[in-house]
Amino acid sequence: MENKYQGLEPLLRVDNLSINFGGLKAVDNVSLKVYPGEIVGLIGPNGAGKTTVFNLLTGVYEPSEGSITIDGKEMPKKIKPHEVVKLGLARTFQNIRLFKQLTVLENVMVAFNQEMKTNIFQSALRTRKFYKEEEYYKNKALEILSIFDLAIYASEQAQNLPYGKQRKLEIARAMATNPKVLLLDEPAAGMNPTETHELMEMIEYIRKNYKIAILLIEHDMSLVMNICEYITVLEYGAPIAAGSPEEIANNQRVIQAYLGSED
Amino acid sequence: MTFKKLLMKKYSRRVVNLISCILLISMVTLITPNISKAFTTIMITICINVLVAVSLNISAGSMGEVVLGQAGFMAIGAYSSGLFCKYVPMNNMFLEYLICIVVAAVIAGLVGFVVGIPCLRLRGDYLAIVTLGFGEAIRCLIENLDKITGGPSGLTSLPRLLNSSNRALGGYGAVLIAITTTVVCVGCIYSFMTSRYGRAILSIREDAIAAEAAGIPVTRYKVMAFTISAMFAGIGGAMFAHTIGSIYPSNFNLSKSIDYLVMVVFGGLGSYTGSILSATILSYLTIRLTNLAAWRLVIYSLALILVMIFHPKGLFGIKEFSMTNAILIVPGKIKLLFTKAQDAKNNKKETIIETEEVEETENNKMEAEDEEAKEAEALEEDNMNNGGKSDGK
Repeated sequence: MENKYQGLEPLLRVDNLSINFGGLKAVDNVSLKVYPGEIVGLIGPNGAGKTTVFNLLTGVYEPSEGSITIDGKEMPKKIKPHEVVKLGLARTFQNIRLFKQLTVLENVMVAFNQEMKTNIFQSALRTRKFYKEEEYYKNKALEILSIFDLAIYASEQAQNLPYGKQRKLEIARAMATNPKVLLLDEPAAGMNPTETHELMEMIEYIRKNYKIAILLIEHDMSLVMNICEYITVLEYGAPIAAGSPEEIANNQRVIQAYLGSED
Repeated sequence: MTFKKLLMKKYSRRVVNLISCILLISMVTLITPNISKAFTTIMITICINVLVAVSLNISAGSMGEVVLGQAGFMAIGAYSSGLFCKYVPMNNMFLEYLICIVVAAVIAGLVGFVVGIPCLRLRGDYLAIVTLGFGEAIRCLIENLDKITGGPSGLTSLPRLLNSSNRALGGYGAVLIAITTTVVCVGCIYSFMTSRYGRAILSIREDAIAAEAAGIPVTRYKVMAFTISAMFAGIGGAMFAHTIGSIYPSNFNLSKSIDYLVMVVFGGLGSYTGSILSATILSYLTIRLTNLAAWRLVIYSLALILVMIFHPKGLFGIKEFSMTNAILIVPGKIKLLFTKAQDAKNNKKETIIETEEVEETENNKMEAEDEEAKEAEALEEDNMNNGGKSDGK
């Protein structure tokens, strides 16, 4: 496993990341490396601090210690979530957060906002450049939607999509920000087996075609064991194991964390 | 089919809007060959209210925050325009009006910006209360700065360009200027709100955390929306000053702010055509029911209660009315009604052919009526679209 990415620069590199909430160490000394085209899983029992790691990565919380490096550039400690997007980090949420009353197309178009260049006056006066840019990004959004088989729903309100498609749309929106690193927070939560299977294929497709680094939190072990090449396990904020899926599946410490020890 | 496809094209939309606009103007001119004083007042008041209601819809509807201080921004616009007229007298009334509008927009926008930065850290009820306080603070400030603003006795004998008594243009010219101002402003607002900025503001209303995660600087866009809303309310205030010719702090009290909020809620929070329609209806009713002035608030609240019961999202919800879509959809719906009626008839089977014919003519009548009603709704919208369009060119 290690050999495959030997000599490559990791796209996402987390060193000794920690955060204290008062006396509680919610994340304790977590280190991660995600290479281009790699899928890394972050697992652990409930309350292990997985989502907190995501919130640290996306600038929601400020880490107490440690550093985050994206594509060779170190992330400043004090950074706002929308600035993180510009560095190339995109995320989805555990509980779906779509713009419910906007159309599917608009949901994706919002993510292009940071790339778009027309200013207020051009928009208010509808100059030619405004129409041109709008048209260009509309096509680009449709392209992304068609990867996720959502193009036919483009003019549908996001809240009217079935659950599985809403999850897909959230990933599509994250992909529209043109990320280098994609963070998926429980993408398969609440999905039925067919939907999970489709999702797996989609993540695989993204990995192959975009060469981005994917870090995912998931409780569905079949999904994690199938698509992740490397897994880090957290318990009470601290990493307790890391390695390939086979290693993790047989790790005594991990089994203990999930099932409890015998005594 | 081909007709439909033709209508779907971008340019045919413009043609449809242009035609319905021309129809509207000619209709209005036909109905009122001699423009009376009352008609002028009604038209200009409607124009002002439409503009302020639409400006409020940016912050209350699209941004989704209840703002109770819109009259405060109007007051700032009205007073900055009035003071400008007082200290910089000009001979050309029209030029003076244009400059006043720009001055009012800039000053109201600046105040909106300064107020917005701290206020927009708050959400929901808290923001509503702060804006309420702001509106009242502005009024008190104007009342107490009597050396500059004239205090409670107001600013009087200002130029009245938007009034039937103006010597430069007459009533008809005044109405035309008011309509043009409103149409251009509303057009600008509408195209702003359908651009990337508008989309970003809507996304913040839907889910601020997700918007942030999609790369939208939430605070900046909220302040932007608030500032633009204040700017256009300021323009409305300047128009108001140019209509009445004398302005008093009591013109801009809390109940005025609430009137505008009612208009926006009535039309549907987030629907610009809804705001235009409801502002038109409500201001027309207010003027026509001056005899019942004491009952006005009762009628307002009754109307609001009825709308909330039968159409909780307001008249239009978050949808927009478009003439082209109406042409595309309405015949289909009528056809559906017709086929339903026919199905019912087929079920009866015993009915004879003669009655069928009668019903058919009845259906045609219904069709005509329906379209008339739709057209009436479309009038303002088309105005607006045309505003945006001519602006773009």
